[in-house]
Amino acid sequence: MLARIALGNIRKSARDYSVYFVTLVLGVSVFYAFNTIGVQTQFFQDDLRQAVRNFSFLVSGLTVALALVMGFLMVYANNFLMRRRTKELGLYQVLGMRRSQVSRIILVETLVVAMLSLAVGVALGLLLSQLLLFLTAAMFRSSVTQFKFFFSGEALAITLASFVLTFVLMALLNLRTLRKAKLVELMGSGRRSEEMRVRSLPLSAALFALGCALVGVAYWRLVHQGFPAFSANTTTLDFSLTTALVVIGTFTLFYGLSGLFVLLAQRSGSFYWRGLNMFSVRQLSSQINTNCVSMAAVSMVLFLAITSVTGGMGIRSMLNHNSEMSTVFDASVVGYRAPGNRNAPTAPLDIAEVLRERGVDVSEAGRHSQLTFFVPQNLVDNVDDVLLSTIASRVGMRLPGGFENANGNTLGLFVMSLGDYNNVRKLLGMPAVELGADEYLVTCTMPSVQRLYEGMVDQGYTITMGGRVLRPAAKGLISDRGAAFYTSPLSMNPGTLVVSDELVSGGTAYQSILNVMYDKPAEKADALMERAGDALDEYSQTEEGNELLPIAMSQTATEARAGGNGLSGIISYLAIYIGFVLVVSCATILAIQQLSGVSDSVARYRTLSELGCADDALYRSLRAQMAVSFVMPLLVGLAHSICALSVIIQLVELLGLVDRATSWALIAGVFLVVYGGYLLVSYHTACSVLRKSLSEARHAL
Amino acid sequence: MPESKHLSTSAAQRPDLPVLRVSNLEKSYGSKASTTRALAGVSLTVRRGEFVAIMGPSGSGKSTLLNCIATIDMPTSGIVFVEGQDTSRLSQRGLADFRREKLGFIFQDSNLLDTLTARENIALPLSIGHVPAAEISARVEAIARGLGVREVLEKHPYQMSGGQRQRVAAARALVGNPALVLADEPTGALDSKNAQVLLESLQSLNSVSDATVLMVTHDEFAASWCQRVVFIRDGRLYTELVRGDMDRRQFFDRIMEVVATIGGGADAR
Repeated sequence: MLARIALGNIRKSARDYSVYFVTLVLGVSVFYAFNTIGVQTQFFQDDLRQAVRNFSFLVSGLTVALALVMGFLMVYANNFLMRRRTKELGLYQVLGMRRSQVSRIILVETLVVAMLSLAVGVALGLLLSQLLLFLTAAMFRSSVTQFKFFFSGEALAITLASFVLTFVLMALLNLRTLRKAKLVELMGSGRRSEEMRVRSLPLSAALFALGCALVGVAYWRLVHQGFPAFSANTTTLDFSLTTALVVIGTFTLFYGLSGLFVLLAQRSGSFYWRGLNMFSVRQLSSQINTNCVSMAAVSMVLFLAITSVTGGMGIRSMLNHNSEMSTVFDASVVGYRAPGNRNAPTAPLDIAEVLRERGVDVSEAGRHSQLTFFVPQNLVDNVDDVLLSTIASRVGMRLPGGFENANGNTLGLFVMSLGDYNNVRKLLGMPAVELGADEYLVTCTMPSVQRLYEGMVDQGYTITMGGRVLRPAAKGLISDRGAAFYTSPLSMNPGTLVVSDELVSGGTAYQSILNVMYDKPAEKADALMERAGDALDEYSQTEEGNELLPIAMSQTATEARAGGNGLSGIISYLAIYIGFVLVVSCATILAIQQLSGVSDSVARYRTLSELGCADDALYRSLRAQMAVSFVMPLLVGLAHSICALSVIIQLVELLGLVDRATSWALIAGVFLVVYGGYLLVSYHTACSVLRKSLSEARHAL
Repeated sequence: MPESKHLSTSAAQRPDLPVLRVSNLEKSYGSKASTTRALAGVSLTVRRGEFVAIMGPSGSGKSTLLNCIATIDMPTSGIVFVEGQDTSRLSQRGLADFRREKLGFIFQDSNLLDTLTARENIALPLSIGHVPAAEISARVEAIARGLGVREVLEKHPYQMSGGQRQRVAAARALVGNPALVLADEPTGALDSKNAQVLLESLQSLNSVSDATVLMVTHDEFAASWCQRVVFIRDGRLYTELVRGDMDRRQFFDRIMEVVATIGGGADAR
């Protein structure tokens, strides 16, 4: 009997359940598809699979976050459903049904719908994951060699577990709602929700202004202070305060927005009193009034989504651009000297010699040369001259963001000898450069600081070394591949001085790099270099090695490329995925809000129709309301993102971001399609709700 | 759309034309197997400036009659003329214009929009009809004064008493100077004092501005304020009472007599 009532209820309130159903299906399918990444990588080459596995901690962390978001969405949709049905549940009890029986009805109802949506969701997720495979391949710059329909038991298990957990939580929440609710409230709930509190309009407008001011202060702080890890002007506490300001500001802003709308519209006089404008404005205001908390939350989440996607894509394009510059050499071995006393002279160590002693002859792999970076401390007469901040202030430029804590600013620009540098050029098949005795060169592969060095060269910036005043050479800045110094997925040259050999004698070596260009087949040479890396590891374990070369790393171009592709792939995968999920969640919440708003106010539309309002005017009003409700949080989120991104871009540019425009256009396109698609679908659903209720009113009276 | 223009000119040119003429109206509900006849041929004429009540027991068809006149419902057969216009010949769009320009509605539960203030509620029919803002303001003030709701103009419906709400609803119905005001149990949700205030206002507007009011009620007291009471039973006209020179008390007694004979007393509360 109870089951029959439950099933009947589902059929009866199919429209309410459809929102819930769609949310569940969407959640399940997206969640399943995301978790198939482990299986997806089996379609790619070995090294990529390894790279993905290296980032598995990120993926599993995100899985948990995703489960939370999806769980929240389901609970939200469920609450929406419960609110609409409290009266009916009250009625059962008035008719003498026991509470436990009503609970059972609810359980059966939700269970049936949940099972159905789980089945549909998994089926949809299976399809989605096949499509996702090709997207993943594109992001990892790989291709699917042999496509076959795949299924991931692991992903299914994770999905099932999360789903069951969410469902149990939801069921408990529902039962609690039912148990706590008083019968008189259950029966009267339809009536109560119609009574809305109206805040005083001037107060609302003042709150809106306050919210804007708080957000403005937060923007100002972020732009001036930057992010704590990258900037010397700020601490984590400062940053937390900025975050708190922007959150509180956003909520206050939305809290006051409803009143501001009405106030502005009323000020405009004739606009307000024309057609349904007055109704639309009031309707919108009442909706923002009841939903201000969730609208503010939506705008914050949209902010996160936009920032994560744009930031992620920025890093990706930087990595892709950088992969050329960072794989100039076929292999590199990088060794650091013990930090110790920076002023005590230390001679560079011949890495090839060390390796030969340990039975690995690098020349068997190909041609090679070694270069050494010296710290400026006992070479430059006044170390301040080569600190980035000094250079920036003397050439009249701002120090690019993120460089406050860089070596170039704490230690000063590193120095290398012309001999080492011309050896590198020879290795790369580039002509040697000439340098006068009183001249210096700057090499750099980081676009964001190059302007600073151009300024140095243009203004004839002088540096005094060993009593000699050095001026920039005619071809003072080198930023092509001849400025690359070693191969590694993220290697960059942030700026190095090149001076005549005699000026670096007696300097303290910071880092020595052995670069190799193969003349043997890559596979054989790679194997040799791997042995070289192992040999160096052994060496640094010995007492002498620990003294002279405590940290050594070897990397081949093959490894660096795979690592770079893996890293860029995983970053874009995560960024796009996070962005997609967050946008879909926001759009779902807004859609649910709009639909429930419309079905709450059909009586008003009916009255308008009876007063002689044409139907198309009603639909126009509805369209305007929905458009504003969708656009408002987006605008606020976008404003936050633009502010945050303007700071992030400085940081990413510092790593070398280039083709921003194209990837941004692509993302913006996808984003608009998803968000706008939701707007369209919910508008059409709302219209059909309205149409149905209007025609019911016309014929059933 | 020329239709609405045509409506207003015809009314202006022929002031003697009855505001409402209902001719042999029938309405059936349900399928072929089981049909309910809500109206079984009702004919009725209301002249300009009349204040008429329709009474009858539950299920007598009085609400159906009102809905058919209001163009909210379509009759199965028969014709409704409002100021000479056959309402069945109006298009969907024309119906909306017609309702806005010719009719005013007062419902039992006032049906005010809870998101709007009283002023905005009253202004609604005018702003939907694209009346200029300055004129809207003047007309809202005037009608609000007539119904004694000026002091609540800036309030929202939930901040008003039931009586105030109903008078605001009456103001909204009257503000567009409709040819015909249709009131469906306007005093149904009011206590006797508020009901009296509303009826007094309606009566005075009726006599001062010549508004034509057709009111469905089953309250003999409310009906006694009218000039004429039409009784309906089983979907047909039962009888009709004209107040003439009687005072309200005498008219009330006559109405009570008819109500006693019409049966279906279940409706009396």
